[in-house]
Amino acid sequence: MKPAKVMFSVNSSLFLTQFQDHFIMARQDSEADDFWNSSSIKSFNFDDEETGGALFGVSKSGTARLSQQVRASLPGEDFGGTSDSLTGSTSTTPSNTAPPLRSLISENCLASILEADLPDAVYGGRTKKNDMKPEEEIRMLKRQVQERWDAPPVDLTIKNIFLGRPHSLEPYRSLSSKHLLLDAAINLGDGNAILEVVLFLVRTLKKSLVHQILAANPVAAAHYARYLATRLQATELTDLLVMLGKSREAAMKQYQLCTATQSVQRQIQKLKLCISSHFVQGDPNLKKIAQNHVALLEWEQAVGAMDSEDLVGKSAVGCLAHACRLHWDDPRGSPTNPFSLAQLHGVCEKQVQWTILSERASQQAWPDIDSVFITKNWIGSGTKLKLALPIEKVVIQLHSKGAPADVLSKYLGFVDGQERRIALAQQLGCHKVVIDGYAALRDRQGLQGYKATLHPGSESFLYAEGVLRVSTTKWKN
Amino acid sequence: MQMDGRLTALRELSQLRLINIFNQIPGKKDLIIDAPLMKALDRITGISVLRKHDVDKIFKLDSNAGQNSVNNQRLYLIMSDLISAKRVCDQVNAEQRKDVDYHIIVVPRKLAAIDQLLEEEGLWGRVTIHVYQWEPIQLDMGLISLELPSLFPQLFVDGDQTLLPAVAKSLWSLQMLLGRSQVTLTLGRYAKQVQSMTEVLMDQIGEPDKPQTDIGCIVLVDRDVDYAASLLTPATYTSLMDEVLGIRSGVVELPKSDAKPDEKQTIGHLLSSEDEIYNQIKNRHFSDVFSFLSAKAKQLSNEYDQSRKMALHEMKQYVSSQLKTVMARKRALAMHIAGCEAVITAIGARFESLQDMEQNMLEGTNRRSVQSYIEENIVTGGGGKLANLRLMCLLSLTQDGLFSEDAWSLKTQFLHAYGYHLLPGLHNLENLGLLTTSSAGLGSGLVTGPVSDATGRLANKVAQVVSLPKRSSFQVLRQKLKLFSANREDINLKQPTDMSYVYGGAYIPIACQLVQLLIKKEVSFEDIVNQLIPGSSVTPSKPSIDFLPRSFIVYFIGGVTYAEVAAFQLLEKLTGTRIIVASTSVMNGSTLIDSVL
Repeated sequence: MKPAKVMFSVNSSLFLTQFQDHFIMARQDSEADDFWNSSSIKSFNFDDEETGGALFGVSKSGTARLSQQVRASLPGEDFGGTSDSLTGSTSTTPSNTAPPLRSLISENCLASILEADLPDAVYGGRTKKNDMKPEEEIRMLKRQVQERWDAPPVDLTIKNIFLGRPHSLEPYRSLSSKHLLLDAAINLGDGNAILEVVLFLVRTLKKSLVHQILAANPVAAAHYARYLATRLQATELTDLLVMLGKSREAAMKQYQLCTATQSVQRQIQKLKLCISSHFVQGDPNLKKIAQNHVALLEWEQAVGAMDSEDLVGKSAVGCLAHACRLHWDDPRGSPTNPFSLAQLHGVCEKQVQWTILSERASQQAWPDIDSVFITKNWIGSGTKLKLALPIEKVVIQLHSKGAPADVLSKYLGFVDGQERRIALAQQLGCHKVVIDGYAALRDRQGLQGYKATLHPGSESFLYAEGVLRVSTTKWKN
Repeated sequence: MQMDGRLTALRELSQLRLINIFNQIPGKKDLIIDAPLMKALDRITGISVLRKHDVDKIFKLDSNAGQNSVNNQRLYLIMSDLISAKRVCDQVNAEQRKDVDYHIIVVPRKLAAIDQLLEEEGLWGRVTIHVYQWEPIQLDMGLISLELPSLFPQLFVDGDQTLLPAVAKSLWSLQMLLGRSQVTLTLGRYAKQVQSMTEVLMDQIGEPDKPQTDIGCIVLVDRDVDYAASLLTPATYTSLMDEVLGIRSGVVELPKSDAKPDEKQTIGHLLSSEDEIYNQIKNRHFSDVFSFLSAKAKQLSNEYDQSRKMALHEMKQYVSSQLKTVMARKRALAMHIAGCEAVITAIGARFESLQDMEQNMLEGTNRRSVQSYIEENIVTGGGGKLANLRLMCLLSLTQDGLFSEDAWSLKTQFLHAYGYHLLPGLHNLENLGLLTTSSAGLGSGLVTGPVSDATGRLANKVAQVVSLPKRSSFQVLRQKLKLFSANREDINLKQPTDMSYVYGGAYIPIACQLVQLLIKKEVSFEDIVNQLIPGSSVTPSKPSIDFLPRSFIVYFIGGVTYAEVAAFQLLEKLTGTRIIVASTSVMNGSTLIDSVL
């Protein structure tokens, strides 16, 4: 099928050919035919077929089907975008029916807007100079020369920076004029003006004075800090932040710079240095995190090399998953053992359990899961579940990893309350658990209803029949 | 003329100003564009216009962009930041071409730091700097954006005010175009500064001369006045599409069903109200979208059936007059269905529980179950990194900070799951006042001081006066401004009459509610300034009591969400007023958080 761009731009005879093609295709394609002929949309089943994944009663499969049917009747999506687009990827452009500019804005306003782009003009730049009388020009030039040496009012200079007009900071040589200049910049709030003044102060004042001024002007300090961070001037940045009493900020900035380092080896070195200079004092929790980060990077390097896998950049839980996968049987105490790794990083029990569950289930290693989650009672009879997670989530996860019926039944058995258990078992298709549940509730009608949904003659169906036949059950209905 | 009609001038102005720069540089030119500017530029001009002004080759700025350049006038179009400027310097210095004239067009401002960089790099005089600021881009009816998403992290995390003048400049041009606003209300400290910068511009470079102004009232809002509106999960069609697929400069990328393996897997679709189907669903509650689309599909299929019964000459007529629009509508339909599909796949399974939990947070109830919900999400990977941080931030925001043991446990679990390198990102969120630790222990909700900056700043005064010990300052503000549906149990999502429908009835964004209260004369400008929002201001300082604005520009500094846009558009409809939403960018909770990590 030709791209639709052709379709939109060529004369109607081409249109016609396309259209007929389209007809023929629609006839051949029975699905599309279905869609356009019948009221098949009506018969859409909005029932939620997946576990979850529906929103306001509309399921994924509902949209997918409608989508497929509408698309099937289209001559292909890729029509190349509009040729005029810079990114070349947009399927539509707005119609360009704007009225002419001059009907929308006054001549004066338009001129002001366009002149604002040429701020030099005000000071005798290209456009206006020619209109100027010679004496005016002399006066203006005189003023400029004068201002070069006598400091003009600080507000005027800051406005000039703000408007992009020519200006000079050199005339502000006294400390008091520098103060005033900075105040004016902060007062207007133009970040570029603020930074320009700060850079001027840095150039013309000794460091201790600069720091004094910055300490008194947090807004100015913030601009300078960002400038130093952008230019990767780490030492100056740290000095500044520590001087301002923001050692936590300094630590975080350094930390960020470290983690941006490409080579792992360098990153480890830098982090260690950063910890010893910024994290030793201060929040012990933060120090622990930083130290764990180093330990994790080292672990990733070593274990990655051992297993020929690139682990660098994985999270602690990601590494734990790796250990669960490949080092499950490593002895406790070995750094590769999952439990040792989890303990080293203080990974919380929920996270450890979920990772073990997911990874060992992916390996179909059901006994391993039992060994972690199920403990025998102290008298040795009966079992108990050691679980930090909601049992429903565990069972659903087991199911999603393809756990066999007996494993699912075992864990469903730990769901408290028959109703909850039946509902969950039903969702996961664990018929036996559902049937046993109804039996335990002595709910004959419920069981009969459920049996009716089963495939006659199937194992589950026969099992349900068997349960219904047990004469000793005292059914409540 | 309606404001929207007049706003079409913005695109032309932007284009004209760009062309003026090209015209200053004679001869054939190669244009190298910094990637983040591409999408916005696409909304301003097209290749044919660039060609008409002697632009020959167009490249994306990357390490070898220079090598493919053929003409000896070379233009780099970059964001005015040091990193982009350094990349250009490196390229120019590496080339050592004497025969090439280099130009850098910086968007949106000329910066002293870039001048200094050029000087240090030995390129002063070798490279000519031009400044280009586009006008706000009309993304759709009633929505204009400066498309400067980097403003949020720069301004609110680092306190760098470099881009504020760009906001002021855009506000100035808007008034040059529409007339001077009768009243300006500012909410937040940056808003106030932008307002005074705009006055300097009026004073120095020109004032509007339009005798009858189109603008009754400008409301300037700092994003940090209402973080809740961006953190909550929205429920309208457009806002959910933005959450799930990301809408950039009004364009959403949808998966292509027939893409070949070696080509781009998505196709961009411009979301415009000129698309009749989109216009009808854009602000609908998501529950009311799919039924509309299937009805639409049915209707189209009927029209098609009609056409099949045509004789050949009728068909010819049909083809030349109707086919184009029918095909366009079908395509739009397919696209919106695909959009629905993507939303349901991504968020369907979690949506309801998410809304329940958010409701709990807004009301300050069931804190334990909220905490374990978030923990379980982190542990099981539900929702992903940004969604989980978003919940943590919302919890902190609504409760005046997390209890320190909870905060530590959530943060550690988060770092274990997603990587220790995110530690500085968490710190940034703390700086924003979004992920704070309450100093007080259990049971004392009210916190003063810097710990809970975001709503704290805003609501502390209110809170101190009202003094309800069990409520957080957020909840006090929520009560005071009635930021919830009047009739939560019985909210009509399909024919909404209450702006809270954009969050399923849970919340009314602060800016939206203030404008509503003004329109309905339930509060005056002075009430807002003196009692409701500390740090707000109004110009002129005592607007007439009788002044009742009927047209608004609400300008968000730091980004607006599609949910807020939808709420304003409903308010417009309900009150017969005109509200243009303007912003430095359009964002959502996830993009907001991602921008500071």
